[in-house]
Amino acid sequence: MVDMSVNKKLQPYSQQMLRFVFFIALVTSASNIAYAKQQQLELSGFARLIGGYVDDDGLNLRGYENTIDFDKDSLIALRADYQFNRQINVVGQAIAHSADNRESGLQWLYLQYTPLRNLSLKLGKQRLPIFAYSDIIDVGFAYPYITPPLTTYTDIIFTEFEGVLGRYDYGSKNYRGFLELYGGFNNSIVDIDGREVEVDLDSIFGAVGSLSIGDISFRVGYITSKTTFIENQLNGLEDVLTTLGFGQSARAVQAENRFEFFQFGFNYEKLEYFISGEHNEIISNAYLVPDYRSTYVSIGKYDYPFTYHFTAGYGKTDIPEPINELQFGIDPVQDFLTASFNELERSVQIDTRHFYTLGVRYDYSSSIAIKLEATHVNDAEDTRLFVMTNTATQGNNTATLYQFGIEWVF
Amino acid sequence: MKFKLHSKIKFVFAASLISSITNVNAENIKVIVNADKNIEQLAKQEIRNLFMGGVTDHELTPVSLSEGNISRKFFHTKVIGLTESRIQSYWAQMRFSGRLSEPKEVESDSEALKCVREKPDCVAYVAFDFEVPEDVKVVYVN
Repeated sequence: MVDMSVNKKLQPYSQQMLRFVFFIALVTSASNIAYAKQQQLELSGFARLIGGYVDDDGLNLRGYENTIDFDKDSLIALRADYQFNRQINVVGQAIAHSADNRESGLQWLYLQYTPLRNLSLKLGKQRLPIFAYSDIIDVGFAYPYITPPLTTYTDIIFTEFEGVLGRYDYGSKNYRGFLELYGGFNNSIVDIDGREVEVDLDSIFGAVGSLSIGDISFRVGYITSKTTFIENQLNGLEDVLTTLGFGQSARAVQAENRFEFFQFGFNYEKLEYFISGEHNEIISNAYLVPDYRSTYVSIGKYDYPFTYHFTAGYGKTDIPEPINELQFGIDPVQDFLTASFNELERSVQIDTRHFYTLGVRYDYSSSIAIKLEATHVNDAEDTRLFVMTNTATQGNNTATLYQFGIEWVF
Repeated sequence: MKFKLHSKIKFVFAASLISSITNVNAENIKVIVNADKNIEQLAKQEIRNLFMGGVTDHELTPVSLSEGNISRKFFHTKVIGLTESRIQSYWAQMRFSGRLSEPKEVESDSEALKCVREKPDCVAYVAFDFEVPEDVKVVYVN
């Protein structure tokens, strides 16, 4: 099985930023001695106990196999919100994942400045708000699913960034919404098929807009980022191909690329039911990471304390035009380069995946929910691993994942 | 005999009407603000926006009744349009995404009234039949 895990290591400049946030918090605290008497520390947290198994022996879906497994999605997190004064607070969140490929530790640490009731700025390490549920993906209590819509949310590599995010809330008698603008960077070590690849997202810029009118709300999101893959084999191949004049192939494996993410979502919600959905597109100029689009629609019925829901969706990568610049049989050097290039090309994803999720949520209390869910996945015949996921179904094109979950907020 | 039968029917009808009115009152809520606030009426959507953490044309800080209070249940289902479990999951989403903080909660109608009387920007809901003094205005009834 091709295994892909994400291992985010704290970079030196990340540590500097965290120190900077602590420093600002300290200075602010010292300058507000009068208010300090009323300082407030608020602790809260959430936890998930998720078990699941795949119905077919020999298959692997999101790490689940044909035996009941509780260590893929279970987690516990603690959040601390320290209010220095009416305008400034610091929020930190630490998380412990049961899964080996999810990093445990400090997930967020940011300073929040709220100069006006409808304007706030966050500085530090925080969630990257790509899709509608991205910034609460670990808080299962906040949504009806156990596994959020598969083709959009499964194993997103980049979930945090370090930088600044500004939020402006607006509203009037009949509508409300917000606009968020953010910028920063993210550096991760990604394990692709046993190879450690450093992926640097520099110059991240993103925007999120939301509008709610009555029972319907809309969300649009956009992110662009310069992306650099730092890996010896990849970077070495690019240099050699450039030197030998194979420009097209060299550009295909170039380290520096640019990505754009587009998102549109809606949610129509009444007391008795909801309909929601999202469409997302990832546009890339990297040959090895083709364009990707995903769509899903969920419908649900509220029958308190039960919520029944059904989701259908798909994800599709665009097949890149093949590059036939390198050929075997010309000379030994080109044979070697062709073999190396083909090996990389094989990791390019050509994947159309459909999925259907049927589930029920039972709200046992105001802080505990119990869920049951089945997700049926149907992959196209030529499925290969998509760079953002490790959800290969390995040969057999269909699989059903059955899951049980307990969600807790405290 | 005929007279007595009519009287009985009238009595049963009146009793059922009173019971019905009482139930309506018990299931209704009213939204109150400080009388010094230059607001005569709030629209349902505006109240929903305020209690869901949004901003409106009025600078008001919402105060909610705590879980288990019957008026809270009616307010959430009739005004906000969400069940208690959806309210809880909505605020979990807002809190853990660091976006919004839920309204401060008080235990009773009396505490909600106290907040409105003492803080000019406070907006709260109480049971429909909960009496409020003259320094408090009712701006919405449902």
